[in-house]
Amino acid sequence: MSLSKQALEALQDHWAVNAIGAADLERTERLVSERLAQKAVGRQISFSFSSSRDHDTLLERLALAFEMAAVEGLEELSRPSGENMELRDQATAASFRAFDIRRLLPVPARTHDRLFFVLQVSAVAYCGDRWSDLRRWYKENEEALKPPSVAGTPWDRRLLYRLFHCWVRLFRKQGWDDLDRIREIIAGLREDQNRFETDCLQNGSPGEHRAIALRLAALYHWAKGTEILAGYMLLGQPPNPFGLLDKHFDGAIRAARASGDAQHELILRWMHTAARIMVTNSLWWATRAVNSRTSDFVRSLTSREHRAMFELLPPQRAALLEQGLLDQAKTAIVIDLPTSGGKTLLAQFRILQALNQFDSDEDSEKGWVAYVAPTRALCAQIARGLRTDFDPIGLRVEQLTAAIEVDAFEEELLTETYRPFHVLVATPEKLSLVIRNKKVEKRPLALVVMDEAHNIEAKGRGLRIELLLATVKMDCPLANFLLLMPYVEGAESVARWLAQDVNAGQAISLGTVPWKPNERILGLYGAAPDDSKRAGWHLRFETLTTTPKAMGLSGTHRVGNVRPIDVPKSEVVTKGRQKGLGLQTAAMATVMSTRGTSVAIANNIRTVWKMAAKAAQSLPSLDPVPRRVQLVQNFLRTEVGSTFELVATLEKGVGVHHAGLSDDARTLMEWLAETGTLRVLCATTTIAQGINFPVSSVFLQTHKYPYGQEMSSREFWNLAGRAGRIGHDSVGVIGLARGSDPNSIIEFVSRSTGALASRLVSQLNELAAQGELARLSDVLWQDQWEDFRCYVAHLWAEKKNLDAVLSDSEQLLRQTFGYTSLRNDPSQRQKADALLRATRTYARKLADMPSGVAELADSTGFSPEGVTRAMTELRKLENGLTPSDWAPESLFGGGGRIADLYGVMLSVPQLGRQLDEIRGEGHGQMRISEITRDWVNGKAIDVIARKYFSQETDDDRTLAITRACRAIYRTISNSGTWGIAALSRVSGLNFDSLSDAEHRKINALPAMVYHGVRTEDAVLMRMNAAPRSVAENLGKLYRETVGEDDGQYSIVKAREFLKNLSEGEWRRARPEGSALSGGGYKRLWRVLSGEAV
Amino acid sequence: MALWPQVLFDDEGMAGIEEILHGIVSTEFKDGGLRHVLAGPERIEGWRVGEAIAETWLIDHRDCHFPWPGWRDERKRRSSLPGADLVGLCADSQGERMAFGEVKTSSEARCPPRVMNGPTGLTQQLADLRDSTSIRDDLFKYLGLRANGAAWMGRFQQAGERYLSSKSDVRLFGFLVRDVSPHENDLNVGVERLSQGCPDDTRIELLALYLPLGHLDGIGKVVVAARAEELP
Repeated sequence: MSLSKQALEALQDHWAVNAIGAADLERTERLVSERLAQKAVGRQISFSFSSSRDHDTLLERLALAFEMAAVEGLEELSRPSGENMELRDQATAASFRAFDIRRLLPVPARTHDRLFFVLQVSAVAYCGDRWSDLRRWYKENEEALKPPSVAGTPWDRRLLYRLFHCWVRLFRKQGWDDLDRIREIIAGLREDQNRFETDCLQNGSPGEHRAIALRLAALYHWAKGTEILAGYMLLGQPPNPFGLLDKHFDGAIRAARASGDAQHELILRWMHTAARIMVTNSLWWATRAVNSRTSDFVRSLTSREHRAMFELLPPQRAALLEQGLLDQAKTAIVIDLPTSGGKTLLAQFRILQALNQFDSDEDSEKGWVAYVAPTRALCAQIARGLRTDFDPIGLRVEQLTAAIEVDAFEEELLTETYRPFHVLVATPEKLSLVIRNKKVEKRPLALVVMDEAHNIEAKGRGLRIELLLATVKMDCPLANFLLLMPYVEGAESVARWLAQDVNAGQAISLGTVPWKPNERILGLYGAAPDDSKRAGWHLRFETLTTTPKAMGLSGTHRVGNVRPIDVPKSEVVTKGRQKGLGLQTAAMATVMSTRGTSVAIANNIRTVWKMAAKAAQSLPSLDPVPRRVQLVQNFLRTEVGSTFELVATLEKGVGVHHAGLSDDARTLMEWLAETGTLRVLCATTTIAQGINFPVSSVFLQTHKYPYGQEMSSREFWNLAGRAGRIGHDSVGVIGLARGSDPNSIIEFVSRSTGALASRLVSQLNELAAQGELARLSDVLWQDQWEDFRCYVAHLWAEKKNLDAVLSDSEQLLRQTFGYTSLRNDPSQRQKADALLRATRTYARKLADMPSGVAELADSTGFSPEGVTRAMTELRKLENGLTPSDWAPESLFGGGGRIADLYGVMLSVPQLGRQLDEIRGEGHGQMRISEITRDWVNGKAIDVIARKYFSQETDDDRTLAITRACRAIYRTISNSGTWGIAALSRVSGLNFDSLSDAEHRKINALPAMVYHGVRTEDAVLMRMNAAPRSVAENLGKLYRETVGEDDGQYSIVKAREFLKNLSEGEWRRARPEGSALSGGGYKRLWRVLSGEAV
Repeated sequence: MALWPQVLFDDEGMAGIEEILHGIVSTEFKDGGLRHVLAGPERIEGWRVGEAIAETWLIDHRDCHFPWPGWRDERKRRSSLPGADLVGLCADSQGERMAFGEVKTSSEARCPPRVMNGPTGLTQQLADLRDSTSIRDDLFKYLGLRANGAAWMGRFQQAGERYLSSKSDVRLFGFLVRDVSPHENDLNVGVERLSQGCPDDTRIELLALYLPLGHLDGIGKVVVAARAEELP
């Protein structure tokens, strides 16, 4: 049973804890936090805490009191659960707290004391559900883990030392070999018995011999128990190891007691309990009764070379074993899990179960899983991760591009019969299109996993996400749901909505469990004048105690040295006024980077670059520059330009991450941060949506997005949760620049995250507040209702009959979270009724639109109004478009009609909003067209930047490149590709006159624009993560390999081709002048495609 | 003498030995060597009788409670924990508190006998118990483990509360069992040494019990024989 807050609170009434006294207890609580903070970040932050020798005594006393409370329940913990739950909870809670203190106390120097201390701390950690903290403690105390030499030691000591070594391996589990070696050690001991035992049982008195003999009996049992445990952790065999473990530990304890060795007996009891807990934490145990596919998965996780996984984190275990994650009767599960709580693994188990549930002998009928993530960066990260994990068990994971249309390549991917995909990773928009247009035929959608599902309440996309889920409910009746989100209270209502049945919805709420991936220090930083140096200043960090989500530390502390980055005082503080908050942020991140990667966040790209430049200026060069960094630098030199500023900042270990970089570049920044290669990563606030990897510290210039919109409290804590790498940092540091209004920031971080609110409801509430509810039908044309209109249009496209739509309207609305919650609340019925009326009115409007509009809206993703507008604008073109105008050579060649198409696109609201951003900077749609043309024709980013963006930015190359990237990766690759794809459908042209090959080329157009290449084969390479600079050449090589007559795009075959390419072949494909070698390209591809770990 | 069987003879422990031996085969270690040592009859040495006397005396005269037999000195020498010969509880005017005892038996003519001095002597053992919180903590935790569900749990909790409030609030006994003529020099040096630097709330008592002259030699055998006669 997992540790609860109640169990921790109940400890306060335990006699041993009471004996410490209330005042000392409070002092100790504070001391524990202070010591931990001091130990973790004392080198960077000069804490103003007092210290005295009395403190050690106090800590020792409290640790002992907790251990006493734990010891009382130890017997209970070492039995199957269900007997005395109160005592079990007491033992777990007391161990949890005892570990808090013990980990801060020094390890004894004497060998014997050290061994027992380490074993005891480790067992306490296991009993208190703290194994992930223990691993970190192991990393910090490697000296303490060294097994003593056995040379010349008596046989009983030799056994003890060897067993110590085995248990250190069992506790740290560095990988398969670490555990596998235990078998050899124990086997070695059995051989040693012949040589050493006799001596040990001679040369003493008979009484002594008896005691030694009994101790040896205890050690032999302990050794056997150890061997069984290691075997189970590795292979999951025997399926139920408890009987054997109990037998040997009981035997060991009986013998230890008979030998009169209190300490030995006590430690054996702890080890017995730890062993049992280790088994229940293991992946094998949690999945023992699931299915063979899951067993194969667990086998591959335990035996893989990198990041082998044997155990579940406490929230994972709770979800699997206690809260019914794999209960097949639950069709909708909503998991509220702390950030870094390991939700991906939970999703993977549920995915395997769903695939198993919808298995079939026929590939074409097998179920599939949709994994939805909010951003393209997250989609890419998730696809890479899933592929790494699922590939060994033969499951195929595919990612759809973030472009809104489903291009020809993706069409074939979705219907591919050669090794059909199992899991599809996509953004909500893309999945919506796939579902509405039934792109995956015959095969049932078994499960939708929605990551970061709290976005359902986000302005802008929330409604789209809610309606996507509603569409899935309607169109895919067999689909199950798994929603993953952090810090959501009352998730039951979401689960019930999705399940449509009280009993089939399950909310797994683990967001508020006492377990944390690590502790957090939260504070506000600012600059203070420092006269010890000319124009001097230093950073001050005020730790906040206003939220239970962070450690209760108080005080204001100095951070780093005078002028931590090379800027004068006048840029960060003048006359007591805080300024240059971006610079302050860069300074914090720079100072804190000595303990691991720090993220510095600002709300605009210009500040991000400035922060990166200043941080880089103040840091020494990496010496030597790691190979990973060199690889990324060479990639940037090749793909962006050799003078790109990021190449230089990387030399100092400083990276950047924002919309002004390509997806590939951002992926590589994430990779460097994730592998701890970066010192500082400077990013925009949008990283809050995309960061899915842990770092050491996070600092924010502001908690507001551009244009002043505040981050939601949930988003902030989700981001803050990334501070602290599990297994590395015992403390993550989060800071916000205090600026001129610190109280508002304190108020912001103190807010509760609250329950999830439907965007549909929020929009109706806003209307009601303005007294406009009755006029809902009149305002339905506004942008914020666009997704809702598309939703109604989908029903229309399905039914094609006004009466049917009118009669099904309520059914349609009942699929949504918002309408269901309004309908279920008598006080909100008025809003529900208003929505129903507006839906029916809009359905009538749809009936009046030209035929086919709703269908086109479904197939293009445009709203019905967007479709009609596009139709009108296309008709207005002076020279009507012909099918041949759409051929790539024609469209992107001189005098092509791409500019006309952009003109139409600009009139469609859904596209125009973004496209306008580039138009605003240049010469109308001609410029967008030219950029698109150059992009598709292979022009490098720096060339495009110089040509279109440099003059207006006073020769600031970095800014020009940033703008070029933003124009291409954000505007053209989203709206441009979407527009081209949609307009080719809306144009109503008959492409039958074209040959199959020409037709295929036209269908490939959007993908060419998206990926910035001009051939279909190059698109295939890009879809499989080949860098753009080498994609065309690789495409040629691919064509040579597969032959000319392969009439289908096969992403799988293309991936297999890339996977099998030798370094020499990569060299052949390498473009002349590229900074990357053949080997470099190969390595890079492995990183980008998720092949490399 | 009525308490002797529990204090002196480890009937319970002996009964489990066959079971322990039986289980070793399943560990895949060989059991021959251990079987050879453990299968023989239990012998009772003179020092063990001395400890039993001390333990019984403290129970009768100092309101002590020792939950398990205290004859483990010899075993202790190579055990994991330095510990104490006697581990238990002792009542005083403020209630229960932790009690630890060290016992030495000597027929040596010199005063004090050598068992009082040196690194493993009674005085040093008591000094260790007085000064080392880690030894006392370990014994405290072990007592806690054994107290769980036992009839003396309430007494232990009382003592535990005192110990957790002040770790020096303990009672220490040094017990010397002799079969020579009584002499105050047996304890004087120890008293002087242990009183230096003794925390205020630690109470140390040194006791010497003198058996009739020459009675320690062979006392073990006498006790075993006497018990054999009593057993049905």
